[in-house]
Amino acid sequence: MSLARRGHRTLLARGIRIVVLLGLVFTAATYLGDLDWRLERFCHFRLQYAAGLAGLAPLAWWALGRWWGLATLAAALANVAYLAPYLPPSGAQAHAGLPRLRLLSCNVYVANATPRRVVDLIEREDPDVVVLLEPLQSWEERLRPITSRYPAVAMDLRDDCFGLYAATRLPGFHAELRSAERQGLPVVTLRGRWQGRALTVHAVHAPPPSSAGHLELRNETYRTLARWAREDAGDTVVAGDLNAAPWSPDLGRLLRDSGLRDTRRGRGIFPTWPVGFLPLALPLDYCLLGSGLAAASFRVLEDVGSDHYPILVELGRARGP
Amino acid sequence: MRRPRRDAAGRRAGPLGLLLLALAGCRGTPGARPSGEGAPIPAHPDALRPPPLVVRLPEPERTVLEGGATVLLLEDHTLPLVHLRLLVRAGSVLDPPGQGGLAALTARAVRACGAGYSGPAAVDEALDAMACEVVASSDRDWASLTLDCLAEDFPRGLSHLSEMVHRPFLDVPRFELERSVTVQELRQSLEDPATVAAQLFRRAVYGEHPYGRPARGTPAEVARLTPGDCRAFHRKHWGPSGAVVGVAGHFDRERTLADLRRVFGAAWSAPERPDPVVPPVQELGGGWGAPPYVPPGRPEARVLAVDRPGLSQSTILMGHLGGRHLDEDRLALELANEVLGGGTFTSRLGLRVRSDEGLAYWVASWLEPQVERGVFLAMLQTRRSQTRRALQIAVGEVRRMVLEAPTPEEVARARETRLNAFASAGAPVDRAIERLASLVFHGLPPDQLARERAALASLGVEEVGRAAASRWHPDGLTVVVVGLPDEGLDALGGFGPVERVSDPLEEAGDAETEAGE
Repeated sequence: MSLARRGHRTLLARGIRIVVLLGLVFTAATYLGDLDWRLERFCHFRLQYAAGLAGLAPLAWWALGRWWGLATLAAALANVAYLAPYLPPSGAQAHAGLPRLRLLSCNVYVANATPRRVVDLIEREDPDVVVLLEPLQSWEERLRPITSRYPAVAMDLRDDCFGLYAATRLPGFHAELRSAERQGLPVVTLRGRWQGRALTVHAVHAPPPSSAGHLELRNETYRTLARWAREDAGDTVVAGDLNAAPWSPDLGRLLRDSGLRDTRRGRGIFPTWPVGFLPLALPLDYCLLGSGLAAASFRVLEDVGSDHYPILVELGRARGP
Repeated sequence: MRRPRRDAAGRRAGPLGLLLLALAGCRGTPGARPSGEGAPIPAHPDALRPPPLVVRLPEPERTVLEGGATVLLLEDHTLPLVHLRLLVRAGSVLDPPGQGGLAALTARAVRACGAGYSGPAAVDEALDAMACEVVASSDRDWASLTLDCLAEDFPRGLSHLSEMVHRPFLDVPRFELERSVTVQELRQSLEDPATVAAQLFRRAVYGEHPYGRPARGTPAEVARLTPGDCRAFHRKHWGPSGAVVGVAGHFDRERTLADLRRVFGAAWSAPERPDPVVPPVQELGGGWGAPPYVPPGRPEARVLAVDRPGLSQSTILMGHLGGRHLDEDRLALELANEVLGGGTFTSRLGLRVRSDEGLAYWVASWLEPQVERGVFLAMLQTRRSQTRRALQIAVGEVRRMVLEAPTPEEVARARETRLNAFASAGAPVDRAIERLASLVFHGLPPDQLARERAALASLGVEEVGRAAASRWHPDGLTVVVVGLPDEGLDALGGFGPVERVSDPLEEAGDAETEAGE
């Protein structure tokens, strides 16, 4: 091998070593989120680590040796282990013979310049329950066509990033505005009876973990939601932007403490953020269901001028054991 | 091999030599030598002949954005820095009754309590990492945010400022901290006799008008404010109508204008925001009329006295209602004020009270024009045994300004002082844009400085004397004295009915006690 080729190979090996080390460090950091809020954010990107490390493993084996290759592969598998439960087909199934409930949740984005596209989407999909996050004060007029068709509506339209709007046309339901943490950010709870059983839908936008304070607010929201879900009579649905990936330990605690299930489980990962930038794709928008309910379908809808894609979930009674 | 020592010394000498060369260059800067290069040093300072003053007034570019905000751009590429000031019509004059301090606390919270998706600590960390400073302030007619940063960080700094303006988070724990600090600052400020005198004076001349309330509220009022109050105030009043954005420094014009258009343009238009209106000032105590100042009556003289045992001096504040920014005779009156008490050492008040009588170390008068009618004020502090004497002389000088026109020499000196001040109107550039933004915010054109300079040159003794005679009323002064004279209240007789009023510091303490109970 010529000196020049050997030099290139050394340079390439050095680059691969740096990238592999970064992947290993990031993977290790996913387990340290409880130590510091800055480390918490590493846990959300397991999909990226898994794909990146799996692709790097053969390269690392070739350029750095067997042990590097095996270590890279092991790290990739450690991340895949968290993704596996979401791969199809193993999700809980809705009862086929009973009516379905259609829930649309969309983080409309505080700087959305095209509210008309959101309204058009809702009119076209015609869901039974609508959850909109981040609508501004000025959206009240624009949402009037929706508001006029949905008898139970509650909203806290705000010019910060935490406006909330939730509505349902299910008969006999009522909407209540409340808060799940000390900051007073809004949560809308819709209550009523559906197919002979009590049903509660909590529409929520948990703060993003952009600082220690916000992370604490987000987790406080999770704790309150878990308590509410345990206390709710009948079935519970939590819908909205939870600002965490499904494999986040904090979201795992919410699911464990509340007894709710993620509708993505066994169906797919369905990233919803950020629109137009696949390498960072994360599933942040959810429809969590109590044990009496199951999803019949889960769809990610088209871009409506937001940084999130909307989701549409069809719910039904869960099949019996 | 070891390098010889002289090499190391040589390496150090390089930068040192450059520094010395730079300093030598500074010595030769035009204007640094008053008598020109090589001129002999005169025997007396009076013989110094400075070179002619070169005045370059800043000429900003003005653009009105969709939505109503006005942008002023002032390019200066001397240093790689950018300064931005945003002024919005969200001052304390819009505080609802019983919620004094709401505008000021809102401005403070907008800056300090997080923005967009970021909490307060994250915002502070991001700004600190860029050595970027954002400061909030407010007054009666306006609230403001300023941004100072390196030119390369300006887009990111502007992005943070945009989030604060459009989407303040108002984090509850930080809000409570800021509110608590504000309450403590207000309590502390009441220990200052001058602050107390100013509060009582405004309450006396404005009555129930919002200008009569403390701009930052009282400790009891501020302690009751909630994040919801501030959020509602922000939503209602932090809009583009009447807002001014001034940017100065090293920036690319096209890109900056596009950024400002994105942040403060159409996206900032919200139909539910009403145009803020400052209520008209009602005359108290007989009044002396609205423009064109043909008074139906005169303001009534009165003396408000606050006893504060332990003070060695009396603080005397006196004055009455004044004019607006847009008054036609504002410049003439400013020259009159320069003669009366604007120049501390050379004014009539300074010469009589300070130099001749030795009654006060500092004495001054000034005008505070506002959107609605402002105030005319004079202030001094003197020994409590000399309170009456100092007051007599100060009121006498105001009377003399009304009865005797100022001399041509006095007007010429005042005019020269004002004209010379224009030499610094363009530098430093951050202060220049702040001043220009303030002028435009108050409805004056961006070339107001040039207009003022031309107008000042043409003002004579007659105009200045007429302005003083028609606008100042020595028999209608409201006088506030904090720290009673040694002789007691009787020493204040002859300047109007004397009323002893309670000390705001004690009132704040009583309110705190009631709140505690």
